[in-house]
Parts: sequence; C-alpha cells; structure tokens
Amino acid sequence: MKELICSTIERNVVLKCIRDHKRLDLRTIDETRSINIEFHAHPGYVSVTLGQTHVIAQASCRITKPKESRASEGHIRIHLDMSKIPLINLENWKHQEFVQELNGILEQNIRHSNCLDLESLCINSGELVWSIKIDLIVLNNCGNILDCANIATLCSLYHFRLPEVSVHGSEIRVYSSTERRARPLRILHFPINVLFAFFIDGHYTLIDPNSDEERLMDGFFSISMNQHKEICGIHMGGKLGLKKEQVELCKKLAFKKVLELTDRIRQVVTDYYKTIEPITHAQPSIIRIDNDEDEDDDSSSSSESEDPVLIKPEIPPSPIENNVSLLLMPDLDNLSLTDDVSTMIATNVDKLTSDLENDDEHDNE
Amino acid sequence: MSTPMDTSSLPIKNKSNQLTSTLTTDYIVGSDLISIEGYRQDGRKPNELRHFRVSFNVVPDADGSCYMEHGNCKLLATIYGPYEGESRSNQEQAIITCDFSMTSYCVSERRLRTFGDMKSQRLQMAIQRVFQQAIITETYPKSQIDIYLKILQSDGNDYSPCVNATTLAFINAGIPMKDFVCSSTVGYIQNKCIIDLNQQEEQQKSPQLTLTIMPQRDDIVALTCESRVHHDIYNEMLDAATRANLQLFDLMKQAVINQLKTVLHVL
Repeated sequence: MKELICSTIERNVVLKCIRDHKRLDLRTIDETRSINIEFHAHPGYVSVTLGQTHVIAQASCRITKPKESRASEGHIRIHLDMSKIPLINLENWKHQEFVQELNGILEQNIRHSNCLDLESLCINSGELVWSIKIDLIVLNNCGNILDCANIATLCSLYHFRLPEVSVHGSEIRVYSSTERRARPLRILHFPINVLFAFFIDGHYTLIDPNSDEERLMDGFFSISMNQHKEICGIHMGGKLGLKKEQVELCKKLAFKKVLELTDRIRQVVTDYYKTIEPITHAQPSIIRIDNDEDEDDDSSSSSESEDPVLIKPEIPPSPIENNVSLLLMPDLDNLSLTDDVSTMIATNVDKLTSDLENDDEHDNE
Repeated sequence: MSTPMDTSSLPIKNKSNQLTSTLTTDYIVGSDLISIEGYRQDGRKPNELRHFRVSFNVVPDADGSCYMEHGNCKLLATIYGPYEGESRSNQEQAIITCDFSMTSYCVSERRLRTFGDMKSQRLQMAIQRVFQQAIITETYPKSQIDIYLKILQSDGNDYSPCVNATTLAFINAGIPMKDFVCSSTVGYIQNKCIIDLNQQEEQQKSPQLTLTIMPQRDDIVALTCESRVHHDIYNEMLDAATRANLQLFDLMKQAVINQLKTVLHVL
C-alpha cells in the first residue's frame, strides 16, 4: 500500500520496530486487537470494533424470483460502503478500487465457501426465494477493515432472524414477528478471515495490522478458514512474493485465531438471545389464527429447540483433539526460513506449545 | 476420509428440479470428468497441460506483443512503453497500467459488455499488481508502461493465460524483469488433482486454486483459492500447481529461445 502518504520518520520508526519484532501498540506479532461485538434490538444489526476500526452491519431480506439455473436457491449479497473520509490519503480512483477489492473478497468468502445454506432460503421452488443482503458501513478505519467486516458479516448472519412463511398453493403468507417467531438462518460453518501483513520484501510478518502498519506494508495475505480446518479462501494483495513455508506458517497461525473467534461469535450471539428471549416471547400473541394454533405451539417449541442446534455442518466435524494433534506437527521447529522469521518462530513455539497444552486440558475436561 | 468433495457432488444429483428446464450445461455430474482409464473430457491426463502455442511481434506498432493459444483460449497481449508518464507519476518507479477487454465473440453467447465490468476490473487490478512486483520498475523512473490484453476466444479462466502472455510480451519488449511469471489453475475432482482447468471443469463446484509464481526465484506472487477445501487437500493442490507452473515455465522458455533463434538466423 505504498501509494498512501507517510512521513519518512513514521516509516523509519515503524519499520525499525518491526525489525526488532516489536509493535508500537505493544502487541506481539501474532496478537489481534480486542474485538467488541454489540447487538441492538433489530435482528441482524451488529456493531463490531476491532481495536479502533469500527464496522456496522445490517442484514435484510427480501422475497424475489430465483435464478433460472438455480431454481431452489436463495441469494446472498454483501455490500461494503465506505466513505472517502476513512481513506483520506488515497487518491480518488484508488478508493473505488480498494472498496471493490474488499467487497470482492468478502463476497467470495461467504458465497463460494457455502457458509449459508442457500436451499433453506427457498420458499417456493422456481418462483419465490429469500434474498439476503448484508450492508456494511465502515465508520472508522484504523487498519484491517477486512477482518472486522468479515466478523461483522458473520455475526449479522448468525443474529438475523428470517420471518416465518407459510405456503398455500401459489400464495404465500409472511408472518410478522409477533404472530410467529422468526427463525434463524441456517449457517453451516463460519469462515473467519485472518489478515497477515508483510514488510520489507516479505521477510517480516504481522497479524492484524493497525493503520500505521497497513500504510507501510508491502502486501497482505488473507486466509479464510473455518474451525474444521478447511480453507475457505486465500487472497493476496500488494507487492508480494512469498515462499511456501511462509504460507504454511500463516495457515497455522490463522487456524489458532479462527478457533478462538468461532467460539466467541457463537457465544456472543446466543448470550444476546438468551437475554432478550424472556422479554419478547413470554406472552403468547393475542392475534392468532384458529387452525394455526397447534402449529404456532409447534413452531415456537421447535424454534426454541432449534437455537442450540443452529450449526449443522455438512461434513461431520473432526474432533478438536485431532486438530490439536495436527498443530503439534514436529516440523514446526525445523522450518528453514530466513533468520528473522525463524526467531519469530522461536518466540512463538513456546507460546504455541503452552497454548496447545491449555487447549488439551480444556478439551479433556 | 470423507472429503468435502463427496458432499458437494451428491447435492448436484439431488437438486434436479422438475419445475424449470434442466440446464445441464451449468454443471455436469462430477463422475464424468475423469473416465475410468484416467483421461479427462478433452483427452488429457490429470497432470497434462493444454496445447500451448506462442508467437511474438504480432503487433508491429507496439513495443512488445505476444499472441498466445493456450488450449481453446486465444489472446493477444501488447505492451506500450516505457514512455513518459503523466506529471503526477511516481518519481522513483515506473507505473504499470493494465487494460483488459474481451471481444464480443469470445464466448459461445455473444457478449454485449466487453469491458469495464466487475470481472474485467478485478483482473486488471490483479495483473497490474503482479507485474508491478515482477518488473524492475526502478530502471524507469517517472515513466509509464501500458499492458493491453484482448481475449479473442475464452475458455474458462482468463487470468492465467493473461499472466503468461503478458510475461512473454514483456520479454518481447525487452523490459527487464526479475523472473518469468507463470500462472495456472488446479482443481480437485474425484480425489485427484487436475491441472490447467478448462471451462467445463472450472464450472464444477469443486475446489479450485490459481497459483502465480516466479519459478526461478520460487516466489509465490499471487494465490487465490475461492472454494472451501480441507487443509490437507490444499497442500496437495499447491504442489500440483507448482509442478504445473514449472512445466509452463519450460514451455515459455523454449518459446523465447526459438524466437531468438529465428531472429538471429534472419540476421
């Protein structure tokens, strides 16, 4: 991202810190900033802050006609909106390119990895399907919009509730949330994005760059993985020439982050719904259609039992123990890389093994 | 090991919809792609590249040009430059711009929008980025180099043939580069890695990977993986892609040497 204007002094200071494997905000090389996720009453609205970077997401739905070639699949669209203010240093046409690039990566992440079961969005095959749109707005850019927006998208999808629909022949009836409880979307897995920034001809790498580091990076490498150790997407940007071993290392680091974040996202959303559930759904609704009475009870009880079973992966997830043993691969110590990256590994191996021991204990409990 | 591939090929069979016309051209059932004897639909083995033919100097006005046929994908890459850049251009390095367009007859259905759409813009940005990295831009400060790409016939993935053709056009133009830039795609169908996908194979919902490397320096310049693939399979695919790129590199090097031989022979 060398097009951005950066003073020589800033550049020298930041690069010198990186060469010493330090960061200006006192994080370690593989530490992300603190993530704060907030919801509000409207389903699908989430506000995520990654350090100082702030992104809000809102999911909305619409009933449309499906594509002819995919007659029983709904649609999902992601739209990232960024005003020029967060990118005040970039020139005009670059802003467009930057936004388009991010938008492309986010969409590919969600669409191509099949994280949302599009068939469950079908109402009437060939005629009517739900079309989900996620609007993302960047309120503050302090580096790494991609990760923040990705987390916001996933939280928003997980938080969103789709109105109940009943089909009578060729007519459909959409129930409001007071008549029938809206049901959650069927999310099969969470593809979480982790961004790595590379500096000084690709010798040094950092996770989650803040705005200073992002201005000075040679290029970025973003991996999107889910907790089943599947790679959902890889994108490289900037002027970057990587070796295979660096890619391997990034994958390993990313996987650790992914596990933490997946648990976090699930926890946050289920906690939120636990707190609001008693308030909104204590009283049965007054307006009820007689012949739907039984169905109403069934639908409310089924949606209650649905909540803990929201994640139904297509592939049976391999148990965490197997994943941990994969991470303990012996070649981690014997990677032949440049000196600097190997010292980075040396500092991280201790951290990794200690983390893995903690994971082991936690899983065995 | 239950691979992700199995579950994605099964739904294709179950999704047959009686309400709409079955557009089977959209995706063919995965089991047909590699026959029992191990040959693909177009008669190649899984680790075989498509037919590769190159000719240089096709556009005499340009500083460098290359016409390339990679299987059914025919394209033209021309380089203009380096020439004096605009006043706000970079003082230390050359700027590389890329312009990508397709002809309206390049695919089976006539295309009305041949440039400026999302795919073209993304490809432009990607190629510009790759070559900003690969060209030794410090030798031409304050100047600009233009890449023009024109697809005459398209067979699925355009990005890889474009990168290869641009490399050869740069060599034809005599602009110094750090190394060749080779690109190829790899897919994973029926538990086998197949390289150099054509359109039919690409339209499958199987894992795919596009790898762009500088073969002699062993540097990965661009890596795009847009489908969900398990970690172990990904490693296999990466290896297969590297081998494919090395094969391509040999072919490209041979083409350049042949070109030099003919030129020197004429002199």
